[in-house]
Amino acid sequence: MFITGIILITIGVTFSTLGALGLVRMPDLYNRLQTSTKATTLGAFSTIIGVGFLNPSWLIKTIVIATFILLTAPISSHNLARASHKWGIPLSDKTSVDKYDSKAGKEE
Amino acid sequence: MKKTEFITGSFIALTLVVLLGIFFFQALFQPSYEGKVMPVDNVNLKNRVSLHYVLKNVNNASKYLAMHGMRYFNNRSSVPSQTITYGKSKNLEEGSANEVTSIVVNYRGFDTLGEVTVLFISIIGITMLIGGVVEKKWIKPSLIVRTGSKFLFPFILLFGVYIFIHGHLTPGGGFPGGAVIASGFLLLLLGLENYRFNTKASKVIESLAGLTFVCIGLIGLFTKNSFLANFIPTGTVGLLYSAGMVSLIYVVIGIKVGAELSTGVAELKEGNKND
Repeated sequence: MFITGIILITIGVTFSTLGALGLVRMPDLYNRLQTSTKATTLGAFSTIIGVGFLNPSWLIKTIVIATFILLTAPISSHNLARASHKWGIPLSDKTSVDKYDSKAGKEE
Repeated sequence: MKKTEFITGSFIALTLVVLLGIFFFQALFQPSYEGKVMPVDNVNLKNRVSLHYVLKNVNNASKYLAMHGMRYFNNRSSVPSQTITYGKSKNLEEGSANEVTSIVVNYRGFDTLGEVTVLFISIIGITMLIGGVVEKKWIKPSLIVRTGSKFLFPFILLFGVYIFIHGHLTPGGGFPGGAVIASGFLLLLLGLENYRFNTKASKVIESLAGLTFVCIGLIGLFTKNSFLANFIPTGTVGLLYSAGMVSLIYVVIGIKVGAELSTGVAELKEGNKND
């Protein structure tokens, strides 16, 4: 139980660190959104579940909180990316494929 | 605007200004304690009621008193200090586990009534000045957002209700709970394009909640001789049925703030159709 919790928290902290690094490293909004969503979803998720494993009386509560994060964070970042694409925020120069572009006839 | 309304309004405003002026000039001639601590010997029991209730909740209050003794808290016999145990202590004057709520809702309940009124007036002002100005031209929400907001709305509502029902036990209370409820309605308003918020029903709910607040205060006035006095027995500290009136008032405040903020948000989007 203890070792599982420690492993989960380590995974979560690693992902959060990588997400913070990605915010600095990535060139445009969409790539930054991708890294930070990984940080909030998997990083927070596995950290919270790991805390639940360390203290088993909190496990049910932590699972509820983690489920809520798992449901909300991807939806919000999806909507942010979609709104900024429709608003016309440019992609970086290195991006070569934009399948969501309305001019390409791929509109939903 | 009709002429009679104008005259009535200016009369009320003039009365308020005169009253405020009287209070202001009265305060000028009070003895001031600016820059120095009020002498302990002159403080009677009524003035130290906050000290009493700060001491009561700190678990080692009696030890602290024994250590520092009369130096800080002289006339100790008037301050019955006791150790409070979570889930065991009974029949305290104020039995809320979250000590802040006993001050905010019980001893300063009248102040909270004023806060609720201030929020009400500010929502009226927002609705009157910028209601319906927000442009309706927006992108249709995607399928993911529509499904997600429909699915999450009941849980957000449940969480808001949880916050204000447990206001006297955990951090939170009526105002944050109401704000969470309003955020749930905001999610529906933004996420579903043909969602219509029932403004009339929310206004009725809000007015009923405000009336209930005042009625609880009046019951206290008639049974305990002061407005918003705690007339319900306080149970064991830490249980859901404790703290007497505090939990009841927090439920009322939560419903009122939730309805109020949701109405404000909805009218920002749709505007007041009656005008």
